[in-house]
Amino acid sequence: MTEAPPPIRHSGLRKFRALLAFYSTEFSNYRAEFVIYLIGGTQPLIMLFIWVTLNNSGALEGDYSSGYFICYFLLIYAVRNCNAMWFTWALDQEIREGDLSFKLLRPVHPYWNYLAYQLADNVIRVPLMMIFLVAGMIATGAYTELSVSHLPLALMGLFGGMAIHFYSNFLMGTLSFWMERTLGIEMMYYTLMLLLGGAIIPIEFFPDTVETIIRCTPFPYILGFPVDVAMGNLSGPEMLRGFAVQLAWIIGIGLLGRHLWIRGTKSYAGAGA
Amino acid sequence: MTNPFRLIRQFFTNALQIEMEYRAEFFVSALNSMLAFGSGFLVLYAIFHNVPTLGGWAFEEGLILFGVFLIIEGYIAMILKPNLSRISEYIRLGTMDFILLKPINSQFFVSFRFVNIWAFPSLITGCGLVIYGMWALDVLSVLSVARFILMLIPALIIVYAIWCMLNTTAFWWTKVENINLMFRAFFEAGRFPVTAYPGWLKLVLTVVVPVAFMTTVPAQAAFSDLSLPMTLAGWIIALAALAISHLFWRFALANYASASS
Repeated sequence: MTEAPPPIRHSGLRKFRALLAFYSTEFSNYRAEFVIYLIGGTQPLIMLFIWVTLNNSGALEGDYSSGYFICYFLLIYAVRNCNAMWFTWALDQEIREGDLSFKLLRPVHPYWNYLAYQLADNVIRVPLMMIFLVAGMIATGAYTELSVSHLPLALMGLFGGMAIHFYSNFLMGTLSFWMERTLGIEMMYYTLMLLLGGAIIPIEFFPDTVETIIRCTPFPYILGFPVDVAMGNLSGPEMLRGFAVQLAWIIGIGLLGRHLWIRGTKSYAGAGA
Repeated sequence: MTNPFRLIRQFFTNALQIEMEYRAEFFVSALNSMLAFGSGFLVLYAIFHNVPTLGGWAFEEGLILFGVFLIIEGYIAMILKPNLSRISEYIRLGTMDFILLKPINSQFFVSFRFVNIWAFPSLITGCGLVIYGMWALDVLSVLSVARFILMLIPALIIVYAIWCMLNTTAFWWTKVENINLMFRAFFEAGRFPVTAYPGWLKLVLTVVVPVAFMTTVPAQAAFSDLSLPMTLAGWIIALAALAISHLFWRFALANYASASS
């Protein structure tokens, strides 16, 4: 009895799973790097100490507890670690050196490649980071500042922020079709994300008009927004508006990246091919 | 060894020719430093909007400090990054062997071969801020500028030594791109005066990672009198760091089994 060979199915999901497994293995080769990343990401903790010291000196208006700032910056640290992966430079390099040509030939859109790249990084990083986060929260007692009922929403905000970060990386990378060295732009994005995203100063501490303007930019929705949601700092309407602006940026940046990608690959004559 | 100053001039002219190919980079870099200035200023402004002093420093004093921070960032982008982050590439590609064969000090060569001139907007903004802050505090004089420069030089030396040591680890680890992130993490603390940190962290930032001597001390020198112990401490730490970086470089070379042979 001969049995027909099972049809080879390359469902999108299976391809993506394969990519995810591939990058997870690759990243686990660089365990030492993750330790460096974890230390490198401690900048929010430095800000934690500044704000607690400021608050203790009594100079700060408003009634804040130390726990408030500890909780805020611990969460910022955690959210930043979820958004620590950069692949702009990889895309930049592939476009300039012509490696992209090979990726374009594969039966899976390079887009999935980069998504797997970013997610695989988190698979390894997030558990490590969680240890620090939970230990810090328990040791300082700052977890009491969390608003438990808001956590599911905060998680949604976190994923929204990760989407903005991912699409921004993709968008900046596609600029390499037309520009030499996009790394300067990446630095710009990084600076703005830190300074206007709430990693140095919580957004509510900006003067009112400045705060309103900043809340229209995509940066707070990567870092500060999910943290504010998790701590219950925002009212219902504020949250609703926040999610709306976040979604608008995801779609806007995503579509622009897609548009540039299509235009870029059309005229792309892979250098190394 | 050939006259180092003539070599630096040669390197600089050559780097200039290379960089002219990337003129568009200037606009990105100018925009970059404008944004770095704008957002940094906004943060400083916002903090002083909430509190009158930060670690005992007033707003204008904070501006001088931010100016020093920008000068050092510009210096890193202009000289340190284009040179030292290449060490790992030299090792991977085997070009390190050619450098070692050249009749000049190899540490000198890997440190000053290239210049990214497009990073100068940061330097200028930084200098402008320092001068403005001094003018606003009414302390601008030849003497205070001289005092400032006297403490800025050790700051530049310390930053160089740390960058050099971090990148020298490439001899063992090859892939070190991210190690510069570690420097970044601590250097970010230099945006604010060390007096704003709790005691133990102040100690770490002064002695272990001397961020205090990179930004706080030069800024302080610009607007107040320097104490002799502070001046000496800054210079001793700078020269010691430089010596250690050189010893570390020699140690790395002694353990280096070339990649191409």
